[in-house]
Amino acid sequence: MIGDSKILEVNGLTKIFSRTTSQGKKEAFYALNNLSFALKKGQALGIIGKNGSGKSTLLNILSSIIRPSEGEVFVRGKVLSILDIGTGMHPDLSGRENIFLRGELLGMSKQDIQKVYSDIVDFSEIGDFIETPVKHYSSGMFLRLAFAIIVHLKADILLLDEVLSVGDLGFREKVKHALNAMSSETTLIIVSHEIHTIREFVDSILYLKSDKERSYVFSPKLDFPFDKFAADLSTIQSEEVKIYTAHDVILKNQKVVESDIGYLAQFTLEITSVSKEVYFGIQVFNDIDIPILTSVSQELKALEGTYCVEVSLEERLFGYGQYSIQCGLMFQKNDGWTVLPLSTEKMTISYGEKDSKSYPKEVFNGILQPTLDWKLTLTNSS
Amino acid sequence: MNTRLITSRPEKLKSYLKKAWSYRSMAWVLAKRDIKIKYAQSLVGIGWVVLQPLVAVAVYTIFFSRILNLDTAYPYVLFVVSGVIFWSLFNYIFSQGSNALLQNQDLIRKLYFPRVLLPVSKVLVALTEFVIVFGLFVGLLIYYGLPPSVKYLVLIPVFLGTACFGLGLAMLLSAVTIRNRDLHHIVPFLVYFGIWLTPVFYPVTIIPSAYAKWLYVNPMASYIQWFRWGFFSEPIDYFSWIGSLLGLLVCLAGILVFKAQEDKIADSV
Repeated sequence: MIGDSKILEVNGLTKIFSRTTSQGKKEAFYALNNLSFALKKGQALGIIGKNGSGKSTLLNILSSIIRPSEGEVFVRGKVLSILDIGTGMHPDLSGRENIFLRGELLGMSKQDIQKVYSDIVDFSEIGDFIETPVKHYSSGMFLRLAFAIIVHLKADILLLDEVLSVGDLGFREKVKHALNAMSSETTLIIVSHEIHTIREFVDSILYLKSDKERSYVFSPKLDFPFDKFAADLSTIQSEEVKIYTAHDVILKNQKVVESDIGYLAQFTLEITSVSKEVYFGIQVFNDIDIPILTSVSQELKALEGTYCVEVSLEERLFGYGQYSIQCGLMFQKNDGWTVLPLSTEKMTISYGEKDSKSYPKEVFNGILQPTLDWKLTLTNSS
Repeated sequence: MNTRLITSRPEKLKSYLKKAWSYRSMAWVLAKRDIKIKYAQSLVGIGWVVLQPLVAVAVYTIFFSRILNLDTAYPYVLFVVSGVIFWSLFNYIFSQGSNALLQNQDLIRKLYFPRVLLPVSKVLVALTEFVIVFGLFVGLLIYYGLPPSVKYLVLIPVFLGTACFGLGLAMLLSAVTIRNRDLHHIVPFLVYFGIWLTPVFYPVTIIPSAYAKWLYVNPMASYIQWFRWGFFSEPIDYFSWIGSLLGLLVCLAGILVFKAQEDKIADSV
C-alpha cells in the first residue's frame, strides 16, 4: 500500500488506445508506457512534454475520467482536477449562480462556497456584474470569474491542465500569488507545454517524451537537465549549449541568471585568431515584442584567449510586466554586419518585487520606471 | 484521509452503486442546473410546466370525450389527466435521460462523477415538474369532490415504478447511443407509438377483453391503471403485476448495461 508520506503513487501506468492507420487498419497506440512516480504531500509537480506526449492522458487517468490499460494509481485525499477552466458554467446563468454551480460541480458544498463567496467575487474583479448572465461578460471577465472559483477551492491534490496562460498580465500575477499560497497545503500537479509558466511553482518535473518507447524523466526541478532537453522542449529558447564557431570566435558557454539587482547575462568565449569588430549586444523586448532597451558593448579587443563577458540589467529600470531578454554577438562579415542571437530569457517584474517604499507600480505603470533624480523643494510654508 | 486506487479492473457493481450514492449531491446539482437554465430568461417561467399537459388534456377531452363520446365511469377529465400526468413523467425521464450523456459531453470529458447520475438527474427534474402538475390534479379532485382514501397511497409505488421504467429505458438507450448516435432518433418514435399502446386517453374497456390483458404487459399501462384503481376504483387485471415487475426488470437491465458501458464512454465522446 501507499507509504504514509506519499499522497500519490503511480505504478507501471500504461494506456493503450486503438487508432486507425492510414491504411485503414487498427493498431495499438501507447499513450503512456510503464510510467511510475510518486509524490509526497506538499510537493508540486510540473508535467511537461510536447503535444501528444501523453500529458492529457495521464491527467485524465489521475482524474478517473479514463481507466488505465495496465498499472495502478494510489491517491490519498481529495483530488480536484481542473482540465478546463469553465466546464459546466452556463452562459444564461448569472455570475453568482455560476459560482455556486461550478463549485458544486467540483464537489464543494453550498456552505463551503458561501464562506468564500465574497472572496471569489473580490478576486474576480467582476463587481456589480455578478448578477448579470455570464453571456454578457467579456471573455476576460469570464476567465477571471472562472479562475477566482478555482483558487478558492480546497483539495489535497489540485490538477491543472494548461490553464495558467490565460487572462491579462495583472490577473495572471494574482493567480500565481494565489496558487503559491495554496501550495502549502495542496499538492499541485500542473501540466503545460510551456516550461516558463510553471517553472516557478513546481519543485519536481515529469518530462514525458514523445518517442516511441514513451520514455520519461522524473526528477527534482533542481536536478532536471533542462539544457539536455532544451531542443526538445521547444519553448526553452536558449538552445542547447553548443560550440558555435563564427568569425573565429568560439562560444563556450552562455546563460542569463537572476542576480540581486536583476538579471545577469554571462558568456564565456574563446578567440582563436585575431579578429576585429566583435561586439556584444543585449536587447530587452516587452510583451508585444517591441525592443525597449538596447545596449552594445565596447569592441572586443580580440586577442587570442578565453574571455568572460558579463552584462547586468537592473530590474528597477523596468515597469511591472513581462519582458524577454535577448543577447547577441555582432560582427562584420564579407556581406556586412551579422547578428548572432545567443540566448533568450524571460523576465517578469511583478507586484511587490520592486523597492517597498514606492507606491504600487501597477497603478501608474510605464515601460521604463527608473528612479530619476527628483527635487522636492518647499518654497512657501504656511 | 481516504485512499483511492485506480486500476484497469472494472469496478464491481456494488462499489459502483456505492460510489454513485456518495456522489448523489451531484445529481441534485445537475438537476438544479437544468431547472435554472430552463427558466432563466423565460417570461412564462414555471408556467411552461403546466401548459404542456394542460394543452394535451384539453385536446384529448375535446376530441375523445365530446366528439368520440368515449365513456368512463367518472369524469373523463380526471381519467385523462391521470393518464397524461404519468405519461408526461415517463416521456420526460425517457427522452431527456437517454439524451443526457450526449447533452453533457463537455462534463464527461472534463469532470469525474459516476455517469449514471446524468440520467438520474433527469428524474429529479421530472419530479419537480410532477409535483407542480400533480397539484393541479389535486385541485381537480377537490373540485369533483372525491373523498380522501388510503388507496391514494398507490401514488408512491406508481411514481417510483414509472420513474424506474423510464430511467431503465433511458440507461439502456444512452449506453448504446453514445457510440451510435443516430440511434437516438428512435426515441421520439418510441414515445409516439408508446402512447397508443398505453391507456392514456382511451379506457381499457374499449379493447376486446381477450386482448385487454395483454395491454398490461406494457409497464406504463400497468402503472397508470394501478393509479386509477387507487384513485377511481377502476378494476385491475392480475396481468398488471407482470407489467409492473417488467418495468423494474428493465431498470435493473438498464443499470447493468449502463455500468458495463461506463468505462468506454469517456473514450468515445
